[in-house]
Amino acid sequence: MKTMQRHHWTAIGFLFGALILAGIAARDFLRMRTPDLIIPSDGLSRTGLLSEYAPDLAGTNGDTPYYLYDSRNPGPTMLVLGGTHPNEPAGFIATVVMVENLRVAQGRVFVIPQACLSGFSATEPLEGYPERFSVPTSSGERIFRFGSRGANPLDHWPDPLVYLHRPSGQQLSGNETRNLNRSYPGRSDGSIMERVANGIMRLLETERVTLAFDLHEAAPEIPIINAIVVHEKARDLGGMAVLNLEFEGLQYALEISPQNFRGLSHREWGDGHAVLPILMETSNPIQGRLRGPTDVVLILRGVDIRYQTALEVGRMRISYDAEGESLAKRVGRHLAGISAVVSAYNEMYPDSPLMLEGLPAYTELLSQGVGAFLKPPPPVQP
Amino acid sequence: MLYWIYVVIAGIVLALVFRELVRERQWRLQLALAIIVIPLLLRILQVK
Repeated sequence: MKTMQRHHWTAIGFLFGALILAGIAARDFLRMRTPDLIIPSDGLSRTGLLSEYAPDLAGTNGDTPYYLYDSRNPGPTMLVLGGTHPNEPAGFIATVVMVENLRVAQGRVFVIPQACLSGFSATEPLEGYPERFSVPTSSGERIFRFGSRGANPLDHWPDPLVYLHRPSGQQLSGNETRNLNRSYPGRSDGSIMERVANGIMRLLETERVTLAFDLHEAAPEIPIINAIVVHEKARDLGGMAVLNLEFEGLQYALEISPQNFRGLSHREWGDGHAVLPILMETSNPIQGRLRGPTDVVLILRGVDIRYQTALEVGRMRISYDAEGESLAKRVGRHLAGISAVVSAYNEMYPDSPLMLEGLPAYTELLSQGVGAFLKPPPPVQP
Repeated sequence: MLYWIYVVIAGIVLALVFRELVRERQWRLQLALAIIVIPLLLRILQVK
């Protein structure tokens, strides 16, 4: 029998150390699988899972909850998606604020706060993003996960070198395989994101959705920020909404969905169904390439001196607010945009309006903050 | 299917790294090999 030599003992020591480090890392990674707390308002009719529309999703990390608000008065049906990209928190939090405050007087509203549920369980490699952020409420802090742009690689590994969009054959970078907003219309036997996309398409079809929103954010240097992107059949609706928002002092650019860029919600939803699709973008400095410290403060306050400097030296093609792009402001823009589109829809179709109640106004969010419109967390049991 | 093939490949690489870690006599290289174990282990255990 060989005797243990000195280098064997050092190997055991280093291995033991590696196992301890792996355990510490594993604890953090596994904590990201804890579901976010969402406390629906009294107006909720029912909640369910997307797999009700796409059974292939059952038991996967793509099977995301939906919340239905049904007035039981005849009217149009609206769908709002947040969390298509889990590293764009304003879209997610805007839908959480909806779920926790919404009442529907006429028509129906489906809300999916975490469309890419898988992406909430991992952050983007090499970006240094925080794993979660907290929003202060009247009594205690609400904690939410900050995820990655795409699905967790554990739900789809490896990425192909080239992502082939089906059925168009469009080719994109391989990591776009895990991007929900390149996966529409999806397939029941495809990748996890294609299955989620298929589930959302089935929901649009089964529930005869009339208006559908996909809430996003983008880096301040990307010209599409503060824009409303619509399918060409929603051009008039989008135009009226932008005018309504101008009256409120909110500037938006109206963009028409490009016909040759496939896989996006505003393109495939509109081509595949009778729905009027709208995608909205806000400006989110934590996604930007010029950003400095990447922390929770940047998520909540959205102030980064580097963007102000870029603006002052004429390197920004678009405006940047020196007061920053706070989460309250970004959530407020999303909710104001939804309200403006619904108002425009009701002007165009007065015989069958969609009547929403309980959503905070943009000015209320700015003055009181997001936490004022989130329910306090339940007390911790002793 | 491809997913599980990659997990098996990661398992084989982990076994090779472990073997080198035990055979290596320089502690600096042993440390480097021990650090390589961490991501391989987390991926094989489906943690990260």
